[in-house]
Amino acid sequence: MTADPSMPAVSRRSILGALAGFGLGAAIRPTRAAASATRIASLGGAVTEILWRLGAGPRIAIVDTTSVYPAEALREKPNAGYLRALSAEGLLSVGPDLVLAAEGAGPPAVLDQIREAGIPVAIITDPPTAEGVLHKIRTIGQQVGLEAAAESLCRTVEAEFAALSQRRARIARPARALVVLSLANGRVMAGGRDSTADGILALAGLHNAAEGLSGFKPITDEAIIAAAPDAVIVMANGGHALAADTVFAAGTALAQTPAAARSCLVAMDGLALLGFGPRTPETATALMRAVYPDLPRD
Amino acid sequence: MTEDRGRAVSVFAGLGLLVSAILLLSLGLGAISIPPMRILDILGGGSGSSDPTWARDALVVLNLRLPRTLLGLMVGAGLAVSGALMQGLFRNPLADPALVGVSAGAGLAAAAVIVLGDRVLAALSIPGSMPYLALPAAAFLGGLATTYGLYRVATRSGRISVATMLLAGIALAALTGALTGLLVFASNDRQLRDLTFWSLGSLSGATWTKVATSAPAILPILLTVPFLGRGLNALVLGEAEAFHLGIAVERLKRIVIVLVALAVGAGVAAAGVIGFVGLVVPHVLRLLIGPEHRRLLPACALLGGALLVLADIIARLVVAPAELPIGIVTAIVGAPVFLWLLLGRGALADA
Amino acid sequence: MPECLRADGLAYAVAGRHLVEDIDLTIEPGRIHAIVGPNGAGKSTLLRLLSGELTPSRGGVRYGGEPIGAIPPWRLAVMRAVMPQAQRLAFPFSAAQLARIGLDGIGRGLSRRARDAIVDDSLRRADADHLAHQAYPTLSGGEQARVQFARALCQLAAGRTLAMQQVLFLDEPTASLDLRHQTALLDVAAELAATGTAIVAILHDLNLAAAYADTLVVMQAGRIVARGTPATVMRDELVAAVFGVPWRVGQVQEGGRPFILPRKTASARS
Repeated sequence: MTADPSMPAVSRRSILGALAGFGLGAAIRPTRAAASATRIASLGGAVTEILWRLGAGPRIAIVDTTSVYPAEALREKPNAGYLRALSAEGLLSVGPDLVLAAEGAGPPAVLDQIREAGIPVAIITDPPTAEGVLHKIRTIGQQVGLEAAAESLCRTVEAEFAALSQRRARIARPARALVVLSLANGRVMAGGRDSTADGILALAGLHNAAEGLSGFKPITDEAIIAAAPDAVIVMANGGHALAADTVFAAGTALAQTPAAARSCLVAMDGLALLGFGPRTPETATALMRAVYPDLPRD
Repeated sequence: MTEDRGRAVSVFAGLGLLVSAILLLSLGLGAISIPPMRILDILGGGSGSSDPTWARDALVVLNLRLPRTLLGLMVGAGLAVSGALMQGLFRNPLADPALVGVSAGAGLAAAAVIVLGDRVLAALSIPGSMPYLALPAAAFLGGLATTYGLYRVATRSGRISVATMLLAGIALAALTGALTGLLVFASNDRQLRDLTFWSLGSLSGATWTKVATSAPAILPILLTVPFLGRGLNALVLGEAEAFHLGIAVERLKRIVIVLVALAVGAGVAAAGVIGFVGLVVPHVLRLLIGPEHRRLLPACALLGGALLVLADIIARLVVAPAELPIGIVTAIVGAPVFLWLLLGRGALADA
Repeated sequence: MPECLRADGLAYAVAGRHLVEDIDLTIEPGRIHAIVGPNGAGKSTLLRLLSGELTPSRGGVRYGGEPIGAIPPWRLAVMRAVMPQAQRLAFPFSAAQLARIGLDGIGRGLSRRARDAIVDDSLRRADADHLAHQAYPTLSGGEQARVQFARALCQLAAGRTLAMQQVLFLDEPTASLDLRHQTALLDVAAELAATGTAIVAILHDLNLAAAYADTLVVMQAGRIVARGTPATVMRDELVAAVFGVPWRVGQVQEGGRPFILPRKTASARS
């Protein structure tokens, strides 16, 4: 386990996550039929990503709109719509034999109707921690009968997390970072406590500058200045990233932060950053390198 | 008089045909294509035991499409009749069911459950997440509570002032809108998406349970329709005139408000906020068969039900296997139709 | 003397101000009662009290000896009809549909043919039969008034099968009518009175009131200041005192009905 005692908030959540995962693992033991499922409805960005990594891509029958990685998923597979606004008949129309859904998929009545149709539905819990990612991979592996592949992927990811943890230990003074989900009309939507943004910052050895917020919230100009982030992280969805001169445009609050002075702007793919899948250690490492350029290479 | 009756008869016959046709379409169309003969077989209680896809098709028709269609019929009929009743009660052709505050209150309560539900559970250290019946139940109760509040504000010495109710309704809508905005602010990304989808309405996830729980709130307004037309006709002349004509005006107003609050509250609870049905359907029908409520109200029930089911068919076909929120479809179709009506009838609206 | 409607010590106050007070009035069957008086004298308030629309703050109204508060609306509708002042309508009811609303409630026991006949007859008597299929909101003010009159006639006709005594209230029925329709409407009222219906009409035109009324009720500042036959009530002093105009009352030979001629006021001569 890579729980880091220097980050009590994260480790407490990870224990909770592990507990929840344990309970769920017992509750949704895969049936033989599900383990050999060939038409999987994969709902949730991380779920699709993990299935793909396990080599189960061809067994996926339908995905949801949040399944943006790998890009083939949405290009090749039918689209079931948004994760939380699914249609029972739409899902059934592709003839799935297993539904793997991220936590929060719904509406709940639709999932009930799918179960009613005799199709197993497994909910994959989503704690934004290293343990959460590993548990997710194992659960999905079990569900689709690819335990060995899942175990090997887990070992890789676990090793990456361990390496990440060692690198993190070398950080003398954690930098403050602000995760900007959107920057519309000068209004900044930032990731605060109890958000996936908070989780990835913790993994990358960064201190969440927006700790005063809870979840993703609009943040005021003054709060941005008070937060004094050393780095600003923006989303690079679909290849469109905000340029530094836009984010740090003269006169804006962001322009008056240490991040602007250092010109420290990191653009990252939204799902990679906040999705908590197998790419998470890689993303966290990239994030760490971008913010701490002086950190010794391995 | 007789040509008038002839016209009404043909309009009702047309509406009957429309409802039947749309019912068949709704049962026959969907992301899964099922041959019409098989649908009839399934509805007739057949058991194609030999065919492996039979069970799935039977489930789709009987447990997905049928409850969804029935719920759509009920909600649409309830909304359209409520709209006609509100327009009659307020003697204003632009009134809609939202005026009794149901939608605003239901929306606020739903937002509260979506945003605060899990936090409240956590605070009370109850494990698990909010049971999902909590959302429709809260929406329903929130709608009724708001209407009751409005009703109290508008009642002076036993009389309901319709004008006060209208103004208070606007103030209350602003207040609940602001409180909902506060909840939106407090929500996280996921809750925000939920709020958005909920406020656009959908018949997705219609189950027999939903049909059964909505029916007791929506059927009363539909079943009372034959008894309300006469009173509404008189009320349109004015409250004093209705009293002169022998109508127990206060009782009628109270009954109408309660029925509308129940029906719209249940509709919002079951399918979210669906606009324009309550506004446009009575208008279209007034052009076709005139404003006489004994004809207008049952015609509204038929056309309202048919149109909502039709909108639902569109909502689930255009982006299949995903589906659009139904409120988007009703507004995209309803708003231009309404504007066109206003253009064509501008002179009359000013009269 | 028989009476079908009686008010005793009637008063109505809003926010401490009395709109009418000390009203004792008897409405007799078969007679036309014209209520006259200047603006704000309380004529309409009195009419609304008598028709049961308002509840008096003091005193009471009785129909055939029964207190009005004890009579349910549907039974009251059988005993009296009201033709209101001109009003708008937001919905395009046809004139025939609007007239028919008058008998929808109380005419339920009648056959469809009987109801159709009542609607046709009422529209014809109100000289609105040619308007039957036109939308009410598109009619002129005078035409609308005639359709409302037809509606009141429908209600009376339907109620006649159920009630012994009926009262027809008319609130300024002639206000927007031309001369021909003014007399036509009041002629119909007189015909109804001849068959036993009591008529209570607010009239602004003193000459019409004098020509048609059996009893003239003169109101001023919320009280009845004179009542009686037009010949006994209409006097120069009363017209001057109540209406504030120095007009002279004359008298035509036939029937001894008084009349009044307007005269340009002296101070306005320059």
